Amino acid sequence: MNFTANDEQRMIADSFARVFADAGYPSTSGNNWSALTELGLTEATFPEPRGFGASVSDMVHALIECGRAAAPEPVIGAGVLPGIALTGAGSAAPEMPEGTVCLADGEGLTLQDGALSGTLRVVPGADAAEVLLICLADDHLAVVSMAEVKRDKYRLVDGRGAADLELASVKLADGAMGGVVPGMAEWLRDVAAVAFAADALGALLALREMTQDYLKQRKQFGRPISSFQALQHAMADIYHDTEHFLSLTHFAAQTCEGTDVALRKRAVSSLKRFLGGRIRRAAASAIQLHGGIGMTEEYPLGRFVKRAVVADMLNGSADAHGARLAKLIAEETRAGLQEAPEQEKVA
Amino acid sequence: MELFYTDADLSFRDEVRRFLKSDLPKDISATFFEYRRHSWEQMIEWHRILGRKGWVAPHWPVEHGGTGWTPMQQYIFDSEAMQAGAPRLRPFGLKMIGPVLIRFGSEEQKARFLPRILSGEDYWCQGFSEPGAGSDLASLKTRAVREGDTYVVNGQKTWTTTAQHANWMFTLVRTDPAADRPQSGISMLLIPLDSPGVTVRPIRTIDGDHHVNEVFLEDVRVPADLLVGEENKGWTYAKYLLGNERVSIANVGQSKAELALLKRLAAERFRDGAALIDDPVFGAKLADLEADFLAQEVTNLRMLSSVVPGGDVGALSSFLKLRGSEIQQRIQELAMEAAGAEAAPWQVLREGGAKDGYGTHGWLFSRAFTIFGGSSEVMKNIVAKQVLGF
Repeated sequence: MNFTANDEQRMIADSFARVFADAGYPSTSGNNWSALTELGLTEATFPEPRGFGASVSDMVHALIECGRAAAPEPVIGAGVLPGIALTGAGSAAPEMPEGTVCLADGEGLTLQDGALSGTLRVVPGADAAEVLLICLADDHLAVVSMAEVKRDKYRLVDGRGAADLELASVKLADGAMGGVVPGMAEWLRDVAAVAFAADALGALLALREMTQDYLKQRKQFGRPISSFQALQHAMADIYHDTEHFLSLTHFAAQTCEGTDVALRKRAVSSLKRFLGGRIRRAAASAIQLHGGIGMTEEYPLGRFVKRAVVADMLNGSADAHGARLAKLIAEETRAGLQEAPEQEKVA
Repeated sequence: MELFYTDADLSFRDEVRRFLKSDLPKDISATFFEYRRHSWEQMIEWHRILGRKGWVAPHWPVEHGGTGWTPMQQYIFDSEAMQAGAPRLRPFGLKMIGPVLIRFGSEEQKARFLPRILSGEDYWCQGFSEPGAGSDLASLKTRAVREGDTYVVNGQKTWTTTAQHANWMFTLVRTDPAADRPQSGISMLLIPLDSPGVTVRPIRTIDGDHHVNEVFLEDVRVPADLLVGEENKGWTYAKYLLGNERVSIANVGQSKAELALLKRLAAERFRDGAALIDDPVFGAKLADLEADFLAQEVTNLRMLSSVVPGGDVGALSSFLKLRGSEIQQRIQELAMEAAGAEAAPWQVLREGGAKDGYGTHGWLFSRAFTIFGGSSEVMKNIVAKQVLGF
């Protein structure tokens, strides 16, 4: 089993990394959205000719670079996710106007007489988008112009942009409603969870390296604090949790491209459960290991911690995913018990 | 893991399943599904069946009797066998001294011992720990003094698993007490357990079973051709061996099977009229275990895929052992919880043997997993030094 990037995936990831390095990330913060879009990086997942239909697992390595750089650009919300939605819908996709698109989960919106109403909260990338792509609960994609939507823009704790949106009977234009793609809403929710997790993985890898280096450099009681066993063991835990998280992230990304829906749910919910459990504790432990400096806004550690926390909070809580996983385990176990005597009979 | 199976892997899996269906004795698989521990005799029987099939040491080089399977195929075989209820083969010959002899042993030693490990004629135990040398293994005191063609060995080994069944013990002994570092004065000797001066005494563990022993060595005369490699290089061989032991303890295939058995138990037991598997509190614990297991399963395959056959697994074995042993303990813990009051009776003397798969016995025994083969704390020390550079 090998999760090393192929040439194409490496090329995309390196291009992102170069833009971020030129911008001086993660020590600075800026906005390099136009540099990224000029290179065609933000829309790699869009169908041709706008992009080239890259999948979420194609994008994992690039998203790791986004997290590692703590980049504030809305790469996932206004790039990766809308593209994956449109590519996934294929011929059932709505007609797309020009302009930056963001994707929203439309659960809770109502569609009446060809008009959408309702409120969408915390939509990543919605601050920057000109076009709003919505996946409705009944597995359609619909598209509206942001000009028709009341928008409250803000920053997330990690510096990335988002918005709350209010749709008051927004009429859908001709061709703005796509066809039904069975299972799309839940699939997209899982893809979004994986994309944010991949970004969080990049942040965790940076956090791990930083903490490891800090322990070696920081001296107290006349010696590097890395010589204290309690701190060594805490750092070993962070190391191992990150390795496990890396495995789950790549694995879950690959299940998003397969046809085995149960496996995908198991992988994605395991990933989210892990993120909200061990990874949240690992991030907190990194602050603890730094001591006071880890609490300061100026020191970049906090940016990586916040990145992981945002991925943890969005796209279903760790508890919601735990419940989904438990339900799945119960269903699969029961099915296995019923199947067993059948197999004997056939034999 | 099917997601990563190639067509060749899938047909391999089917071949393994057909073999298990036809050749795994029914009483052996029934033992597992009745939540009991396999007996020594069942384990040996399965060892010999696999030996005849040529599948008993998949990880060995082909010229010594290995199968040439990829790491993925080895994992497929291991997890399929465990899920079918096969016993876990003891690692002492197959995974510990066998690979050491292949890499460091003399041609005579290879020719003499390897075929008998494969066939199950010889059974090995590990003479490493001593009363005063646990985590600090290099402080061991058992002394071997060379007299002509013979080593004379005096000392005591402990926690010697299956010494009551074994006929050989690979043993760490001190050959140079004056060496500058304790690690530099250690050698590895192969000792026949029927030698005069060897006494094996049982140690009963808190689960009521007899897994481990004390082994006393009094003026035991060991021919010098039973020295592995060079004198005073034993620590190098021991580290290689311990790396393999730790991967073996991590034992992902067995955890997969035991986790499946735990889920079955939870589906068949009821609490307040509902199946335990539907209980939100128990379900949350199962979900966490499932997530941690999946992380370990994928990581295990990711890491083992990067190791060349016979190569040194190094520090990653510490990681796999650390997390794998915790997962096995949590499986036993939830199985004990699922059994509830039925877990409480002391089952050792009961007809048919203890139901270790869900009793307190399994949980009690599982406490050893984070101690033997290098405690969790020692594993973290190794990671801190070798991986983190502290």
